[in-house]
Amino acid sequence: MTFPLLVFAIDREIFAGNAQSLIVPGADGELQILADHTPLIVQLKEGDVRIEGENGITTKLPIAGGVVEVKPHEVVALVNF
Amino acid sequence: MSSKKQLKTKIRAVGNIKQITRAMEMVAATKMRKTQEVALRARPYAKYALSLLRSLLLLEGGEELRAQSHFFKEVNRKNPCLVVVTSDRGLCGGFNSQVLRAALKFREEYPELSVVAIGKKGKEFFERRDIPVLKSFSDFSEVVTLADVAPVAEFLMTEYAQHRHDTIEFCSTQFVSALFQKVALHRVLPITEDELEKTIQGIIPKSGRYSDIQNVEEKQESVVSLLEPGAKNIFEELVEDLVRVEILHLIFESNASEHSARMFAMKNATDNAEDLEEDLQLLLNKARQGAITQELSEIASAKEALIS
Repeated sequence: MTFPLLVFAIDREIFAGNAQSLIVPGADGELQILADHTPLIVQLKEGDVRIEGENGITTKLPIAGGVVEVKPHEVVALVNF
Repeated sequence: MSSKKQLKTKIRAVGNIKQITRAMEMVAATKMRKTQEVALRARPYAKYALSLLRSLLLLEGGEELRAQSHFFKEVNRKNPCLVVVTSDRGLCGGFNSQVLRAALKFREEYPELSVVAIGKKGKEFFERRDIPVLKSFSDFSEVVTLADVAPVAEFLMTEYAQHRHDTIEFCSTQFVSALFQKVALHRVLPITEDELEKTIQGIIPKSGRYSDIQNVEEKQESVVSLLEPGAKNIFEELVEDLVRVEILHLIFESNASEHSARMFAMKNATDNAEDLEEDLQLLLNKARQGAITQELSEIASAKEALIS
């Protein structure tokens, strides 16, 4: 199962496409988002964001903070460095 | 004849200038396009952050959040901080003087204001007039990047958070299209949603290249989401991000305008050089023709004198 994922930094787009899983460092602890996750807005702290794309390849991205919004049909991550 | 020689030198000099200004025009055009692209790349983040902020405000207790936040409070403008955005380099027509004129006019209204200068031209201008500059930023890259602008945003946020100023305003050039830019005052802090939206929409030029990108309206879904670690924290973070983005965009826009202003200044210079070259060429031809005529009449009169 995949879900549409958008990851943006202030000055560019980092990821746009389908992903199998997204692991983010939430302010209250790390969490993994899979398809059909319940709607959620999480503040992020510094740590690594891991995106597992459609092809199963995982990209690791160190961030300083940000916000993730899980909507019913897509997931949007706004990250800061 | 010496005037012929002088004319030839002048023509060569004007020709060289024409070449240089033409090259500078091309360079400015490329840079303008690049800056526009940079500004456009930054749009999605701003758009999503704004829509997220809106949905937070729609949630229960959203209005309360807004009322509590010092970013949103209503103020009487008593002690504003004016950020004047100019360029580091000249040769860009009226670009800097327009901004500086607007800044001086604003200062007449609020003599107490503090000035933050972005760009060397602005800093020099205020120093010449003995107007104290609170802080100045310069030596940005030719195409401004996030790394250039981040310290400006940090500085302004701290100033505001410590209540040293009740508003933060920008006096900068807005990029309407490649042909037209206008100077405008823009209040960054405290925030009003409309102003924020205007800036984000304003990234797209009204006409010309890139103007066909549509401002797609996001419909507000009022889905109840789980919030972690609580609406207040997320709200504060988003607001700070948005202010940062707004400052970034104002500087991006000014940067694009600078290159476009320079492009036109250089285009004018090239055209003028061309006209001048033509005029000088005409003068040279006349001088040459005059010299030939004179020589001929001298020969003719000498012949007359010999015969008679």
